[in-house]
Amino acid sequence: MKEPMRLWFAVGLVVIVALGMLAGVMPRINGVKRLNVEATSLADRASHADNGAAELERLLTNLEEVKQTAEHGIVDIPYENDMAGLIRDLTSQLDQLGMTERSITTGKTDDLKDTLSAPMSVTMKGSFLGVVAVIDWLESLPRLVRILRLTINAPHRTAEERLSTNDNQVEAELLLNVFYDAGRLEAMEIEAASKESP
Amino acid sequence: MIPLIDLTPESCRRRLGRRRQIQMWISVYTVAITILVTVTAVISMTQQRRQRNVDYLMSQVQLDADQQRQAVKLHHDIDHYSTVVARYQRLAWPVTIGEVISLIGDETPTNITLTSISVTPRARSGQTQRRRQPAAGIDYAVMYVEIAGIAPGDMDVASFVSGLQDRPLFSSIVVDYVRKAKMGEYSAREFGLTCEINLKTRYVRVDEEETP
Repeated sequence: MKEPMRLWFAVGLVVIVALGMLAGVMPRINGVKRLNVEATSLADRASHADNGAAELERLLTNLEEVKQTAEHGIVDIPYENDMAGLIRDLTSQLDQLGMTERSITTGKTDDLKDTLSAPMSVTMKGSFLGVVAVIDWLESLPRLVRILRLTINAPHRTAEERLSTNDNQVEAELLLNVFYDAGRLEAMEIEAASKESP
Repeated sequence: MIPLIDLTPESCRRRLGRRRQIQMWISVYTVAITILVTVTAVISMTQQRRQRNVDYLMSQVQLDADQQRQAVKLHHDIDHYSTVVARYQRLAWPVTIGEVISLIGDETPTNITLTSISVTPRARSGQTQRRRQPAAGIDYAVMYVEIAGIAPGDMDVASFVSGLQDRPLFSSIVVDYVRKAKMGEYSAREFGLTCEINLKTRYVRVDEEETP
């Protein structure tokens, strides 16, 4: 075999090996190296993962408990003041119970930071059971109305006075806190908007 | 040893020699290509195995990230509802005024007439009563209950006080006065007492049938 021919064969072999290394072997070796680095990083991250399923289960149980309390164990603080509606319903209730000499006054709203409190004073005269019925009605409303102060007095307080009259009526004065949360409406709107947006 | 003598003509010998050389180069090429293909295949398999491992780890990390996102949302919801409950517990009395009046009524003996009941919250137990309006924003600690009435005798007042003392709701029961009163030709006793209800306690209604 002539020398140039042998040289060409040798050059061809080198070219084939070089092409094989460059096109086949080296990219795969680099790929394996890259995957090793990636696997190490991911394994590190995965090893730091907490017991997610158990933690989620615990949080879901907590959420159910606190949601149950919030939805069934407490009275709502509405976002609307609606004092007019409350006064209208209260007046109707006082009418039904036959309470007389009654007056309802409202005052300046107090800002309690996370809620607002509108004071309302109610005075009335009637039977003791009627007053108790008004108290029960106020405390069973679907909105939070707190009786801040209550005074029930028999008009004839001394023993002599009571003996001289058969009047069993009592005078009652209630100072109420009517709570409402104007900021809640805004929060609900923001929450609704965030749910609508993807 | 008998030496081998090649009788092949020179031209034929050269041709055979060249063929051998070519066959040798073909073998070298074949071996080189086989080695390249084998090495490439082995590395490819390793790469695929690594890729599967990475995919699995990636899915685990992704799952953890999803769970963390869900946990953050759950924490947010729990905080929201806890805030609502905490606000309610801060603003609402732990016991309704209706229940307080009802309990006082239950403990009032039939021969006692109550002439006055007042319920006023206070920031501290034993605080001197002030006549100014209570405000909504104060963190009240106790509910101050004042009761006045008329009883036939001291024993009736004592029975009333004893009944109130048996109720865990009422504490610090103080009889402010018991004084003689005339009811026509009969004598009676006018009395006034005060007691407190702790507003920092949660109360649970226990039915009498359930109590041992």
